[in-house]
Amino acid sequence: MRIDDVYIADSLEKALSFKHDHPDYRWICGGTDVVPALRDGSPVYQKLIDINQLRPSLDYIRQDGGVLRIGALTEHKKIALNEVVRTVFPALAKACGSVGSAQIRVRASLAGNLANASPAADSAPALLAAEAVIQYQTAQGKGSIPIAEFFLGPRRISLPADGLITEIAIPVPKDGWKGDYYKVGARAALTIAIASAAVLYSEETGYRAAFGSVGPTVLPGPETKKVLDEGRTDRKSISEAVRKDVRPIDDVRASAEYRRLVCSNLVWMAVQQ
Amino acid sequence: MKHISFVLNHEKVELDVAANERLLDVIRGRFHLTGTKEACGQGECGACTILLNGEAVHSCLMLAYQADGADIVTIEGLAKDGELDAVQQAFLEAGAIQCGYCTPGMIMSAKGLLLANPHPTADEIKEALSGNLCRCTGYVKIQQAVELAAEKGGSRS
Repeated sequence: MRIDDVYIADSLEKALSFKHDHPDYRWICGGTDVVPALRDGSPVYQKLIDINQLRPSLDYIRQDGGVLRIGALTEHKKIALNEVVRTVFPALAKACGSVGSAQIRVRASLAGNLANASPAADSAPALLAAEAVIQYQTAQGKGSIPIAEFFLGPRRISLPADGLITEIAIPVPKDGWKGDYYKVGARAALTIAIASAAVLYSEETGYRAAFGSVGPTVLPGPETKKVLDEGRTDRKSISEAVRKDVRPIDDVRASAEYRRLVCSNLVWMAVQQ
Repeated sequence: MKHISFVLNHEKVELDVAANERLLDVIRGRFHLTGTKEACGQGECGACTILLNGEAVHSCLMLAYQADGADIVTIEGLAKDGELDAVQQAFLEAGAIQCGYCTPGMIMSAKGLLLANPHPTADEIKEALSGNLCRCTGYVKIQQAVELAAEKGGSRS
């Protein structure tokens, strides 16, 4: 395992200015994705900026009018157990509670799960369905990106080269997001989803859906939303719509056809609730 | 090289660590505390589980310098004054051990659970241990051991 250098940042300003001057350094926080990658010989993470000391200022969950604000470095365990999240966005609490294992959820940060840009990231479908906004900072200032534009492909995100995610801002309807997140994998814990789906509902927005592990990124479900909003909640209508939304491939974990079937069934299950 | 200090099994330690040393490497290789095991090395099996500030984490996924200032407890730090911790005792009494390789990690995950939740439900125990693999026992006796540990006051730190 090769690491050439680690810069330990003790303030956001120093972290951003160091990253600006050293674009080849990569962020590390919980390290639960970075350390296994290093162990596998990844050349990408041999120079690191450690931002664990920024946790006090970037680790928070608060409701701010109609927006649920989650600090970028908040660990999944805290999100999964947080009373506000469990009340206004239970699908997100469940999604964060299904990341990795109990040990991983203590260390892994929400922004890390998103920035890693796995198509199977558990936190991503619920956030995509809710149209969350990724807030970031660079040495020059602040910016934001709608999550729908954030994921470009496996391990590829749209963020300025010297940017650091600072907050996930989630619009929350007046009565909260109803709905659920389901994932299917080979075992209950520590599994990479074979397919996953978040289905959300509120009176203001109607239905929303998003899918994981069935495309190069997590995918929104506009056709699924359409049939659900029209009240066509029979299995055939759902299945036809989901099949238009997802773009799965055959791989070592499952066939594309199995993934289509699983996604349809997950949406149908969510609608029964 | 970074100079760090942390509390390891209730005693303050100081040392220089290389950037690429994992906490697991330091615990096993530098302090010779070999109860903490390495099996998968990628956070899937839980054999390397330790307590970091009272919570169960994988020592194979932490870089050693990240332990600076932390309170670390390994399996060797559970027994006090020659007396096994209630969780260790419960694993013995319930017969929750076969080959023993997963046992330190299982016990540390169980301890982390009981510290936060002294009277967990069966489902909460399963959930808390779902990141720890055992290829021998079939898990039933491990589950029973944690239930027994909760009765025996396994939540005491």
